[in-house]
This record gives sequence, structure tokens and C-alpha cells, in this order.
Amino acid sequence: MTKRWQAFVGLLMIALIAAGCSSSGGTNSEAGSTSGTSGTSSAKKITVSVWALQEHTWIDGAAADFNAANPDIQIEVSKYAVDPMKEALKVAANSGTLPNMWSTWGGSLGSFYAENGLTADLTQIAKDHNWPSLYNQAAIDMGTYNGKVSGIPYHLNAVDMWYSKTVYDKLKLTAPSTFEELEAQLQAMKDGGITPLSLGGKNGWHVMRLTEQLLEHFAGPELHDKLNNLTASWNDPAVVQTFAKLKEYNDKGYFPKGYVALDPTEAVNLFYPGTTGLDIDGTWLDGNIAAAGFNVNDFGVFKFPTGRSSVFAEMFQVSADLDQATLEATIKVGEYLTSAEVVNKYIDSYGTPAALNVTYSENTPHLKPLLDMATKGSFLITDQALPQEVVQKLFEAQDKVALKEWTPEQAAEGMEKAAADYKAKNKTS
Amino acid sequence: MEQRVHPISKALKYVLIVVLAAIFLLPVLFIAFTALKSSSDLLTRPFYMFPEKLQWHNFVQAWEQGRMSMYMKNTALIALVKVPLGILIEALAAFALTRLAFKGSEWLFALFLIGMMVPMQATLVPLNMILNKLGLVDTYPGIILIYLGFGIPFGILILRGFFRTIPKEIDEAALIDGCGVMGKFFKIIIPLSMPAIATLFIFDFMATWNEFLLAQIFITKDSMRTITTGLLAFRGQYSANYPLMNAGVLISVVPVLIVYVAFQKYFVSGLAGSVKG
Repeated sequence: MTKRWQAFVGLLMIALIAAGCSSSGGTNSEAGSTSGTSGTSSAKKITVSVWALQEHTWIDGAAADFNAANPDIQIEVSKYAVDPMKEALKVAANSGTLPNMWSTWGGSLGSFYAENGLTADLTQIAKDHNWPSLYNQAAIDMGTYNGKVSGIPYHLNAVDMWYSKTVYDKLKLTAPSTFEELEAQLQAMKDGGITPLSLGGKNGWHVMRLTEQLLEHFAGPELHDKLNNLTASWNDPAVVQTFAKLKEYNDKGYFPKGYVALDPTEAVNLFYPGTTGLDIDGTWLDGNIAAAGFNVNDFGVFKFPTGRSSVFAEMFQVSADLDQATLEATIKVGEYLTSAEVVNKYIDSYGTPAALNVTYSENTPHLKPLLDMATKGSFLITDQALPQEVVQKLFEAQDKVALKEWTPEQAAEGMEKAAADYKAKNKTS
Repeated sequence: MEQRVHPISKALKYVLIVVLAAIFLLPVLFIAFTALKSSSDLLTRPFYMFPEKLQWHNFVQAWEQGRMSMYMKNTALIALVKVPLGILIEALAAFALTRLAFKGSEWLFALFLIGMMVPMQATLVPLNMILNKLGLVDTYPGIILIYLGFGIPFGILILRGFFRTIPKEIDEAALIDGCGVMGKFFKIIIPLSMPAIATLFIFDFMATWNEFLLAQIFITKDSMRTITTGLLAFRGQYSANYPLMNAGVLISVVPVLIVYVAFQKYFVSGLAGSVKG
């Protein structure tokens, strides 16, 4: 027995040592190149660590192309799903272990890293490399904080109304041009046995796309911008009207059953087969429709009957903690991954590029119309325009109004209090 | 005298068991239905309906597209090192706490238990800093060390409880027969504790196999990811491939089921013994 146990313990030790030896998982990576604060520089090769989102399938091919063409630089990609990415970035930021470059969103989501001095100031590089001729200016602006460019933009997304042609043909409807017409169509769909709005309330942001358009309608562009900048009071009749309209739609059954807890991906799944008539979604939806086995031509887009579309950008932020050589290599990688060359090669899976002079795919017929609508007028999407504390209050207000725990007036008051608390905290800190 | 059970009450008992089993199996059945549907079948018909056409190739696609062989191999490597090594360390600690008479053993046991009360989330930042300083981020020893640390308190709690049920007289008899301390551990205590060890093996294997939070933070290379983080590949920012994800989930639970079936005969007695005294 003792011998058997000794053999067992011995085997365990061997296995542990073997695990240590194979810790790179069989890849041919360089020693020590992990999520460290700077790229691993050897005499010849610089490793650039990039954290990207799981769905950035195009990045694998683009990184391989880059590595083949640049023997002195090695891109090392790590991929995360959305929420794990946010969590991993926060942990890395707090422990000083950010990668060289990471994928994040513009507005208040990316501002955390810029405002805490964790991102390199790319303002001069943007000037020297003439970024306005390479990228949509709006996308650059959404990653600029206190006048400093903090990220290399790769996506510029526009969000607006999508309708099911199956539903619209069945009810003999056409895309509405006024708010009253839209409301009449919502009721017509309900009367026709179809749930009008394919929105899921879980995590708040899907229903928020309706809230922000209602706010744009009731407040108008000027007040809407002021509310987002926290320079106007949220305890305003336009805000009350917005929440009252949300409550009305809820009471009339315009949302799917149990929508407050419904995951947005599950809510959108109801839209594809025509169980629901409308979705408020982005430029990426063509790809999702096709992936779910439906025909993109069975769907159409129209502008919510307000003047402006909701837009947001995604970008690669660059660590502030890099030596000059690694910073240059990282910028080279970032500019390559976001270039028109890469976009054109991987356009079917790339999403909505921030790069200019690109050729759109036939598989995404609604991408250009949505971007054209946004070009005529846009506002930054609410969950990136508002500070995150206030965004969370907005999500809470949406839920509580739907669950009849708050009146629209209480929701407006709650928002005003959250905005005031944020401003007071920001003033004293 | 053996008490006779009335046939009706016996039948009722079985009906209750069947109903309970059905309640527990229903979610698994719906996962299986989803795994066998096409995307459009899933979206156009209620989720509880039997698939219109069985899509067995979803399992092949999930295996290949989801690179499940790589993720399962990585997870198996971690679990097969961590679980036996953890049990060995925990058994040695529990043996010392119950069989080596030393002052403060009760306090030391309480100290070990504090480890169970520390929320994992609160340790992420310091652990990340330590692993980075040691160069252990993205290494299997790094993640195994963390898993060992988090697993030890529970293992000691289970094994200490079981070791205390083994009569001390057996130790004395072993001593008379010329057994040393380690001989007593390996020849007497461990063989007698197989039910508890098997139970712990099942628990620990399941916990390691299903662990998500630490794996997603401390393993950033795709080639080293574990099965739980790998399954996220089926879910994007705005969409999810539910048929493939469910097929992947079903494939991923097979090793856990095998471990459970292999050790289940010890399971109940191990659990009962561990909470005595």
C-alpha cells in the first residue's frame, strides 16, 4: 500500500511539473508574454497583447496576416465575452496588469481608463497620422476625453428602428414618418395579435433604446443633449412624459410577456420569425438575422420619427504604461487592425467599421441606410453619454415604472437625484 | 419484526419519486431539445416542442466550432492535477488536526475555515498582482495553486469530520504493530476513509470542472481556456447560438457524469460520515 501511495504521489508531482512545462498551452509564445503592463521586448521581437471581444472573429485572420508581414512584432490576441471583458479589464486596471491594447466602448464606458491615466494620449499620433482622413470623425470624438484622444476607433454603430416585412405586409403597413403614425401602427399590431416591440428589459440597455428615442421626441434635441450632459434638470416634464409613455406601452401590452426580465438576445429572437413587429437595433443585426437562418431582405429599417439616430463607437485603447518602442509597435498594430485594408478583407464579419473608404458587403444591406440616417443627425447612445451611476438609475427607473413601483414623476425625481449625487461627488473628489 | 408497508403507500412513494425525477429532468430534456433543433426551428416553435427534424450534426459543429476538445483537455489537465493533489494536502492537514495531539489544533482548524468565508471576488485584484509578480498568469500551475487554496478549507472540513469517526484504538493497534506516523496515515486512515475521499473527489472535480470566475480572469490565452469560459464563444454581444451552446453544454457535462457514476457508491456514506462529530 505504501509503495502504491508513494507511486501515486510521485505521479502527481510529475503531472504537476508537466502541467507547468506545458503552461503555454502548446502555443509557441514567448516567455513571460502575458497580460503584463508592457509588451515583451526582446532584442528583435515585440509582443503586443490585445484583448478583443469573442465575436471579433476577423481579428484572428488579421493578426495572422500582420504577424506574417511583420516578423519584428507579434500580436497575441486574447478574447472575452462582453461581461467577462468588462470584469477582466477592471481587475487588470486595479492590479496594474492591463494588456498593451484592449477593446472597449466610447463615452462613459471607456472614460474610466482615460480619466484614471491608464491610457496613452494619442492626440499627437492622431494628428501626425492624419486620423480624420482614415476614420469617421464622430468615432474619434467618442473616444476623446478632455481633449485627449484615448483610443483607435474600429466600430461606429448606428441604432434605429427595424421592422419585419412579414408583419408589415400582413397588416398592410408601411414605414411610418410621424410619431402619431408609429403609435397607430403599434396599436394595429397589438390588435392584429402581434407583439409590437421586441425589447428585453434584462440589463436595461435594450429598453433604453426606446426610452432615449421617446426622450428625444418629448424633450427635443437641445434639452436631450443637456440632460445627457447633466446641465439640465432631469425632473422635467419631458422626462415625466417619457416614463409615462413607457408605462402606457407597458400597460397596453406592447412588449413581450415578462419583458422586464427578458434577455435582449431572446427578445430579438422573437423578431426574426415575425412574432413581434419592431426592434430597435443596430447595424450589426443583418449578420445576426442571417446567422439565425432568416433572410435579411425580409426586414427593413426606418428612422424613429425624431430627427436623430442613436450612435456609439467601439475602440482599442492603448496602455499608458508602455515604453516608446512598444507604444509604436502597439499603435502600428491598432492602426492595422482598424484599417480599410482589414475592413475590406473581413467586411462580412467585421461589423460597422469606423474606417473611411471601405466597401460594404451585399450581405449587410441595412448597414448603409442606417449609417446614412445617422449622418443626418445623431446623439451618443444613453448608456455611454451618461455617467455609469446615472445609467444604472435609468435602468432601475425603467424597471420600476414597468413594475408599477414608481410613478413617472418618481422616476424623473430618481433620475434627478442620481444626477445631483454624481455631480456633488465629482465636485468634491 | 419487519413492518409491512401498505401497497398504496408504496405506490404513492414511487409516484412521488417519479414526479420529482421528472421535475429535475425537465430542464435537461429542454436543453436536449434545444441542442437538437435548428436555429429557425428554435425561434419559430415553442421551446418545449420536440425538434421538427433532429439536428445531430449540432453536436459535431459544437465540438468542432467550439474547439471543445481543446477546452476539455485543458480542463481535464487542471482537474486531474488539482483534485488528487488537493485531496492529498487536505487529508494530511485533517490527519494532523485529528491524530497528532498538538496545542491549538482547534484554533488552527478554525483558521482554515476562515478561508471558506472569504468571497472569491474580493481576492481577484491581489491574486492578479501576486500571479503577475510570480510570472504565473496564463500558466496552469498559477490557476492550480489558486484552486488549491480555495478548495483546501472545504476539503479539511469534510475529511476532518470523517477522520474523527475512526476509532483511536485502531491507531494504538497500528502503533503496537510497528506502524509509524506516515504508515498510520497511508495504511490505516486513508483506506478507511475512501467513502469520504470519493465524495470529496466528486465535489472537487465538479467544482473545478465548472469553475468560471477565476478561469476567465487568470487564463487569457485561448489555447489554455477551460470548458466554462470556452462555451461563451457561442454567445456574442448581440446574439447567441442557442442550439450549439446547448449541444456544447451537454457534451461538457459528460466527464462530470462519468466521475459521479464511478464514485457514487461511496457518495452517501462519505457524506454522512463527514458531518458526524
